[in-house]
Amino acid sequence: MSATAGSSASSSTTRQNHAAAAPPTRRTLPFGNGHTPVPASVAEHDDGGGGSLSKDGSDASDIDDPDDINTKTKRKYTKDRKLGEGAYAVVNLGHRRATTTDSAIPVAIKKIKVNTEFRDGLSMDAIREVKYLRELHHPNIIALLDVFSSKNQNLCLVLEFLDSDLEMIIKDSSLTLSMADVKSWMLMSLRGLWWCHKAFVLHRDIKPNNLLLSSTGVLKLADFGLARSFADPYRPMTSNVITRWYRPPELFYGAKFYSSAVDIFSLGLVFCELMLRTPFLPGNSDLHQFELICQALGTPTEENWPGVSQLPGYYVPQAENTTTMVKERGKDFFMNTFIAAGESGVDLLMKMIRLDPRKRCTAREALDAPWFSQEPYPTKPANLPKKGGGKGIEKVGSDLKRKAGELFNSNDETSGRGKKVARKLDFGGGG
Amino acid sequence: MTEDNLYASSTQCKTWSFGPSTLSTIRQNTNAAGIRSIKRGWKRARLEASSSNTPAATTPIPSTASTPTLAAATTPSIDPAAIPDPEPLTPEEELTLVHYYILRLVDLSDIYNFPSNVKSTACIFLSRFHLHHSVQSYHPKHLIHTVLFLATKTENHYIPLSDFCKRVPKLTPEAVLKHEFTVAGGVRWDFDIKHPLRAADGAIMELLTALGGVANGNGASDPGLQALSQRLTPNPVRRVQDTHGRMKAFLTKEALVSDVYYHYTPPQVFLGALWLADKDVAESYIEWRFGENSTMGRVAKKRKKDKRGKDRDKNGDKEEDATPETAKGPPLAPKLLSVVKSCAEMMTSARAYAEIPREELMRIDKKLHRCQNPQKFLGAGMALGAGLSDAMARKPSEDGVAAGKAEERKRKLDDDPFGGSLPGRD
Repeated sequence: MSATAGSSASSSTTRQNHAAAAPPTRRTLPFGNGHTPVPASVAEHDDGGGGSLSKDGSDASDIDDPDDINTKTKRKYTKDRKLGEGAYAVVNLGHRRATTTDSAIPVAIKKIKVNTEFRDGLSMDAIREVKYLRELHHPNIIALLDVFSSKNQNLCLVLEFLDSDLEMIIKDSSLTLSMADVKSWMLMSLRGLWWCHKAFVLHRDIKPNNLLLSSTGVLKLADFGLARSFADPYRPMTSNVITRWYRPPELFYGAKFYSSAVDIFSLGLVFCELMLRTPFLPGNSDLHQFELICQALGTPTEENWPGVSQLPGYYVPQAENTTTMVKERGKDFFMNTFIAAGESGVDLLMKMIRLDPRKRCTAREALDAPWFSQEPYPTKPANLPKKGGGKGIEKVGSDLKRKAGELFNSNDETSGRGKKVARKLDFGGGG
Repeated sequence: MTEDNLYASSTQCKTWSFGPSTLSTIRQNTNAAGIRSIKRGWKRARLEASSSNTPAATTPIPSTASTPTLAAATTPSIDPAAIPDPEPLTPEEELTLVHYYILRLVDLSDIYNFPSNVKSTACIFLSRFHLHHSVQSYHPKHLIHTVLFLATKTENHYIPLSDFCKRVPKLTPEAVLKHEFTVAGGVRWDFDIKHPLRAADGAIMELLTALGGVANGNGASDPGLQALSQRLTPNPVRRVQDTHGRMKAFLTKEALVSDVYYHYTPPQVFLGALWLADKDVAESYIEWRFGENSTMGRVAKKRKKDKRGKDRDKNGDKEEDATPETAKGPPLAPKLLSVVKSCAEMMTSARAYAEIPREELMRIDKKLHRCQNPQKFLGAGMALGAGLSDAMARKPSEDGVAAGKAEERKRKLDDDPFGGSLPGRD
């Protein structure tokens, strides 16, 4: 209750700031040439450094050229050092240059590589990420500060710099995570997710290493390379999304019409992982993954999930050594495994990972769960356990440059874990 | 949290919504910038022409124009200084051209049978791009394919570029991608465009469901719905279905060619189109949802509601509306209806763009051609008499006309797979 109130209050402040910085009418004269509106941040900057940029006389400056704005944007940032490089992108630590009005801030500059497989211009991942991050402004969603193109027509995204992620925290055995900490991370994740869903955006790749943490402990949803808008009637969506360990049963059944419940399921499994300190359902193939779901949560049937047999890929796994049918697990089962969460915590968890997506709670309902307003209260972000430090920077750098949907970096894949990678998106074009 | 707030945080509201006077100021400034760039181009070309016209010059003019053949120094040179700068385009002429190419984009999209959201996004991209980039600097004919292809990607309707190019003769992947960054940056990377289409489809579904219920004897407790049903007799369901198609036609043409996207919110545009399609349906719908008997969408008493976004009928949070002070306010319907009517009016005015005579478009394009290709007119190849009056800009010598026409035809074939005329225009 108090949780949601806090969230909407802070997010509305952000929006007000935005509005104050850039009322529509002010956009007419940011460069003195009167016709080039720019993102608020650029306009602000130009107030400070605009004069120095005009090395050319008024006659020579081709202010009609979008490349010129691009150059100005580019000049706002410096590249400090490389954090990581992968097949999909290079991530550099950089900072925004200080101006008379703003101090320098660290940023992550994600340079999308020109993909050798995709020769059709801007890649879909990049377009999705830009499209949604331009719109979603929330304290629990990573901020896209600017976009520019480099010399070789590579797309560069300037992102808020965040120095660690939830996966690092989970794996760091030197840290002890209290239930209050878990509650805090869940709360922040749900607020971010609530905002996405509110704006009709599905994240479609919720997992611990896409939940980044700022140096002040604030959690932010990142990596919108698989995101899309939803709730368009009659418009099928691909079911080949979400990294396997976090993928909900309806996607294994090939559902083409699904909802925000897919993200809720993923986040429910992250919740489990935070408590177990290890992935709850680490399947090593899609088939195995689905068996794990059936064993842990129950076998989907018409009884517990009306209509499920109509889904294109419906089947019931006939596991060799387990009882063929598992009833949807009741509270006792979860109380045994997740006793630390307490009764109200288990109630919330169960609502998030119901088999039938229609029975899962929404992000909003989850935020209203009594668990959040009960003791122990969520830890303040600043007091949360932190990894931080140089290693954190490297890790997030390498995570940011991953292709959306991949679970591990390529060098990890060789380390005996097998290739547990979300299937690539099929664009339907056969390209 | 209401949908109003959500809309207010969108780039469409923050960066791409303007009052009428602001919009025309931006267009004037863009035009002025375009003129400056033309002047610079001509200045450069003059310098180049005068240096290349010296007898010793054998190097071809470094030409950005498409036909270097014309630049070959075959005839006695003319004095570039004697040729006046071309007459630049006015903001109105630029707008005419942009709207013409938006209509072309609509047709182009139909060749591929793209869904309405792809079509609409492409059109709005082009409109937004040219809001800040003069057609004198970027000819829209070079951009329409790029814009449409980009829209397929941003609307999650990607088709491989090779397939995309197959449908249009002589279209190459390189030509499509050449301007992709220019366009993407030119629309400020704001790929998410809020269309009225969702509101429209949602409202039609709502209407059909409610009226279906009335036909089955339900809804007696809702006087607004009863009134709506009565006004649309004898067959309300049929009437709404018929309206749907007409409304959609407005949304995928007039709404895109006019400036309504800059001045109104998506639901207002939808209601405007609904009003144009069938006044009775629109008015009774508004009265049902926002009238005296409605519990939602009241004018706030304490706090003046944002004039934008009255989309509370769909998925709206009722948290705020349910508070006593908002519920007590007068109904929103009269105010909303007047906004909707002015929006509809603006859409109707867009029809003029579909009726602009071909000669007028040719005249503007010719002017633009001259502006953009100074080398052709200053270069030694053209048999332009020296010392012509400024009327020359409009009336070149006979050779000039012939060459111009041939050039025009050639350009049409090269760049313009649709031959310059809109289907159904001639």
